[in-house]
Amino acid sequence: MAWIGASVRACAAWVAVTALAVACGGSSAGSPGSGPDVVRIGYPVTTLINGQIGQVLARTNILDLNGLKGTLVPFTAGPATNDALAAGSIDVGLTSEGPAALGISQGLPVEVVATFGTTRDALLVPRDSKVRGAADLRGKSIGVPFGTTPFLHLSSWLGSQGLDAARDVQLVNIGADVLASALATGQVQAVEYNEPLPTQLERTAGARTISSDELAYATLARRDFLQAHRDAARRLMIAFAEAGIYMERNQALVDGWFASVSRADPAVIHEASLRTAVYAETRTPPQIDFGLSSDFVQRLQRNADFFANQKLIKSAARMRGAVDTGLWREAAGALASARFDPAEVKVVRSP
Amino acid sequence: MSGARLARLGAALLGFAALIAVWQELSASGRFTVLLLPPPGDVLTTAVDLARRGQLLDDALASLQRVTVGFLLGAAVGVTLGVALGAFRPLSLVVRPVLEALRPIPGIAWIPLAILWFGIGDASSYFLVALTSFFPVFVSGHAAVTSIERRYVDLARCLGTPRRMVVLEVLFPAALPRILTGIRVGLGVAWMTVVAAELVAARSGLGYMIELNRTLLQTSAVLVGMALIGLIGFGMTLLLERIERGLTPWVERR
Repeated sequence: MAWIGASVRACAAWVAVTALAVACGGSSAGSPGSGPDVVRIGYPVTTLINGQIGQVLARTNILDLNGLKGTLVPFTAGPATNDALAAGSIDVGLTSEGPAALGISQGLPVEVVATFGTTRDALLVPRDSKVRGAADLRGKSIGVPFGTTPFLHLSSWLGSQGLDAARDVQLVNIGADVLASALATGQVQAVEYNEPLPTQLERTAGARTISSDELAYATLARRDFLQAHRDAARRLMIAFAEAGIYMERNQALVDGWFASVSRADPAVIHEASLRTAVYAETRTPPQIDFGLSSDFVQRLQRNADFFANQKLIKSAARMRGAVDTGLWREAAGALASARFDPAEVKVVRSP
Repeated sequence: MSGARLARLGAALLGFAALIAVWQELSASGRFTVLLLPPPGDVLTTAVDLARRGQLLDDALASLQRVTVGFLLGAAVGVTLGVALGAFRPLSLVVRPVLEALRPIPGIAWIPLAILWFGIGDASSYFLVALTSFFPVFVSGHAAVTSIERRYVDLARCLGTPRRMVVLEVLFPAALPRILTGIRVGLGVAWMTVVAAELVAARSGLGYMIELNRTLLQTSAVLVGMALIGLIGFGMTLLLERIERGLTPWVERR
């Protein structure tokens, strides 16, 4: 019966090793021993530009051309990206201003390192809805993923219209990927989210926009990753810029990639993307500016203050202390002298 | 309180104390940030804060109501159908294959349909809780009746016991312990389901509170919600055990 004892011991050892592996799974892939050029990037599949840049990096050799080995991890929205950053499952997260301000205020060990500009988020109702303005929303249910920038903008807009988000309307936490069906089936009377959903609903269902706002993208990087792998982080910024140029030169291809993961019509993706500068106007490296302006930092601070004022978080952190404006400046210097030819980029993974 | 009861209570408290000690040790080890594993003291402070604001009670009552209504519906139908199919084989041959095909479908897979059919709110939660707690109760009810030894029934009939009395005095007491075990399992499933349902199909309740606080990175509030579900579920199980003991005094228990 000795084999039984041996088997039990082997099982116990396996359990112990597995538990250790699981416990260590939260550590950064960029930690010493696993190679400084490995970077794990989380990106949303329901948000324009962030999603397209994520797709470009996942499907081309742009990271490789910059001496990086990337793991691209898709998420549905910003809060899930924050979770992954908190757990150390990713090093860099492509998200937006709301989750960034929220995460930093809650002690997420990250710095904001770049922004890809802005896009639209909007509050939409069905074509035949009787809702014409804020007053008509009283008593209605509005679908929005909680903790996201659209959630923040919606709460803020309702307040500015004299409506209490907790009492006058019913905010329903619905995943970004099912907002369209929730509106179509009447589960909610309105939805709020960012592009491409507004364009998709306007084009395909004749939805009407009640209000709209501007959502600013935010790229977060874990502090431990930035400290240990500054050069890799700098090269990642260059890779982002090159992904932007590649996206502008290969719009149909990239729209198709993004449409396949977001399950949207490529034409909708294209139309919505044309409203964003990084997609429509970026042709050469000097045209790209993913740097963080003081306006952007103030915007983050307003978001954090709003979350705190609404008592959704205990207090707002000082955003200026959590932005790394130097990384983009370092990258921009190298980018200006780099010779990047989008035609040389290879597609390494087909849809 | 008897000595045996005191010993049981002491053992249970020891278990909880050990859990909290390990938790405190892990959170103080520096391996986990407050975002990942807040210390027990933080969670307690958050619980007190949420309780003071009245939110905790509102959410707990909302979940409790959904579990109670859904579970009572599911258990009632489960016992009735389980016993009926166990007692009438022709009916079982028709209905049981359908139920057995539906049983492996997890509650979470019914959520999209529940939202479509009943909308976002209590009704979809009632449906989901009733549906998922129905199956363990049904299975135990059916098994309880079909596993009763035939000779007890035959003996009662030989003694001229009327059919109604056979059901009430022989079949029911013999099946009851197993049915009650199924009811306890069903209650556990009901709690699991209500949390899943509230994550996406409700605007209140402990599941809703957990998901809201997850999106806000309020990990201590997430743990408050989880702990409360555990405590309420545990309390309900103790209550059911007490009812079980009262209803089946002839069953030997260790």
